[in-house]
Amino acid sequence: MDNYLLQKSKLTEFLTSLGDVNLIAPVAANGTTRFELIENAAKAKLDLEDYTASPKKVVFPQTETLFAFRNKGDSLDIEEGEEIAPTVVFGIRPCDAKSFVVLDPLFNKDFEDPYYKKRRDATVLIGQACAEPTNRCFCPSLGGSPGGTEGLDILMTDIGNDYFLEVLSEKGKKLMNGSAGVCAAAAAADNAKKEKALEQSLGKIKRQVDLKQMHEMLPKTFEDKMWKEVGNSCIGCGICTYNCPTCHCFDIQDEGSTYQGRRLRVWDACMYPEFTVHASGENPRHDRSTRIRNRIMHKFTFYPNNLGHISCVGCGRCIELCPVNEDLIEILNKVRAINE
Amino acid sequence: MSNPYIPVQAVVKDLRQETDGARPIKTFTVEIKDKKDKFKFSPGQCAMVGIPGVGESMISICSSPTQKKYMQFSIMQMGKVTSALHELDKGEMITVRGPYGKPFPIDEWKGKKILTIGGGIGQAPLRPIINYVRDNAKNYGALSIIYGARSPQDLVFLSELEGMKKDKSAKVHLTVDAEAPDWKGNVGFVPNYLMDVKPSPKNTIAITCGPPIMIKFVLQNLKKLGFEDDQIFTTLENRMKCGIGKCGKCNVGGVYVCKDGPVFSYAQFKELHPDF
Ligand SMILES: Cc1cc2nc3c(=O)[nH]c(=O)nc-3n(C[C@H](O)[C@H](O)[C@H](O)COP(=O)(O)OP(=O)(O)OC[C@H]3O[C@@H](n4cnc5c(N)ncnc54)[C@H](O)[C@@H]3O)c2cc1C
Ligand code: SF4
Ligand code: SF4
Ligand code: FES
Repeated sequence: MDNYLLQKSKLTEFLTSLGDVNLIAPVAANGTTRFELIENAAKAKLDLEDYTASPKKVVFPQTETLFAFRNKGDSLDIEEGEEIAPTVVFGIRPCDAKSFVVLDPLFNKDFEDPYYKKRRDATVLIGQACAEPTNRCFCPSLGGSPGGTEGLDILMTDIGNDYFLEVLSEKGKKLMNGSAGVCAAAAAADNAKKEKALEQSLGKIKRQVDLKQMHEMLPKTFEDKMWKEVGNSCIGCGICTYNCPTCHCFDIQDEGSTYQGRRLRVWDACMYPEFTVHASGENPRHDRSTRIRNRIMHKFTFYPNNLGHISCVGCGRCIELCPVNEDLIEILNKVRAINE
Repeated sequence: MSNPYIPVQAVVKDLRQETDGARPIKTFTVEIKDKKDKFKFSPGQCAMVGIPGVGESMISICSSPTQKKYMQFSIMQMGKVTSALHELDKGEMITVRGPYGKPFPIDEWKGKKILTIGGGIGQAPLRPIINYVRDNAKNYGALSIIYGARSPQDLVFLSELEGMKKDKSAKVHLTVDAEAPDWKGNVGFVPNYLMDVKPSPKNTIAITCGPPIMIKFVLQNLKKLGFEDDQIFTTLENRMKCGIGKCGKCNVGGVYVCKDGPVFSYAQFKELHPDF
């Protein structure tokens, strides 16, 4: 597909030219970076580092109305979900874009989830190649890279005075219809600059993990005392799940009264005991070691076996944000060591 | 595109108090309001029964699909949702969505003898099998029912079961955990009673449901009696919210009880992840 050059000074003009869309972009807040709806295109920044939260909430919000209801005694009025406006996520990292591809089969297979699908279909992803991967990143171990294109509609790479824009999908092509005029055509030399920039970024990635046969190795460690040790230090805060771009577990809660209210779905975390406890008090995952073991086996054994993708994109957030420094990579290395 | 999270409206047509005590059980007879909302189901499948504003609970459909006009749910009062359901009166509205899960392979059992072994509220998912087999008696061999509860007051569907004894549509073996005044039936736990009744495994399918500890010993005893793994079926429970394999609550390893279960043959059950 097409490649373009966008002068850095024209970024605001470019974003404005995208037209009447909800523009979601990284903003700095409380010393972290997060994705927010921005009213003014000039507020969008690409030079922010260290994305604490992925924009997963754009397709799978932390709280979402499944339906609103009004009980009229002998009948119930049900109003489904929310209207979704065309949305552009600008500046999403390649790993986070890939996480949408990982989530797609979960929400689309068997029973199609109309809420996810509606948001996903209405959303175009303009990615930003990582010039400065953080020291927690290990996306190449999961088949990604700082310039990975999986899941993206457009990828932007910083090549000095310009951004190099690659259009990657029909959605991206359509979005560019009104915006190509703001850009210039890219030449072979620009492409070479981009390749060089991406190669340099890749060289900056420090961490890696060997995942060969990991889906078969994990079940063999099921009874190993290693899980007890890992579970003993975990404090069960759930941070590792809330900030993970591929975690998808949720709860369903009702709000209001039996006369009028809403049924909501809200993010939930498998690291909490309430997640699995039965009404009788019995809990199949009764301690932190069984819960952390399930979390990791779900990502590296069950999910790939059921849905064809490892449920991790190597963003490293769970490692960096864990208050007691549980390290996913070290745990996976231990699993390999036990097997070998 | 149909939305699997939107329930359909139903009316409580009848209520039957099955047991009293701290955790009473009521059987709800419900009729889906709009004909076009009615759904087909098979024995073993479940539905999310709910009250908007309170929540939903996964409940086995305990009537047989041969009964087309209504569905029945036997519900034990446990916590928030089931308590609110127990407060409903006849004529009030509830919501239902489903059917969920894989059913018992009841058509594959044609020509075979059927043995159900239940404990407590675990008799609920067995009831549609019993009624289906009675309604299609010419297709199946003899029907035997072994059922137990803590006390005579805790036996659900008691009058129905006694009716079957009388009209000889099934061999009914009842037991309670401890001696009780006026109780003339057996006294003892279900797994032990199974060994007393000593059913022959020949051309027989055994289906068991009840508290986990009961299931465990019943399975062991069925093996002792000579039942093969593919002659034994059970149903499992886990906490559930979505019912459609997405919320992540009900997994046993890579198996999601809501969509891959709740019915498992003993052969499948043994393959389940040790997490269970
Ligand atoms: C496949 C299946 C079939 C079932 N069939 C029956 C039946 O026929 N009759 C019956 O009385 N009960 C049945 N149950 C159990 C019933 O779903 C729970 O007792 C009920 O959900 C408890 O909800 P509560 O709000 O009253 O309790 P609370 O403790 O207040 O529960 C709060 C929430 O936890 C969840 N929850 C808690 N325990 C369970 C559990 N064991 N299973 C599923 N979700 C749970 C529910 O989503 C509920 O909304 C079945 C469960 C499953 C999984
Ligand atoms: S498991 Fe950790 S490293 Fe993998 S995607 Fe989730 S937060 Fe990132
Ligand atoms: S972030 Fe760390 S401490 Fe918190 S639940 Fe996850 S592993 Fe446990
Ligand atoms: S109940 Fe949600 S995954 Fe099974």
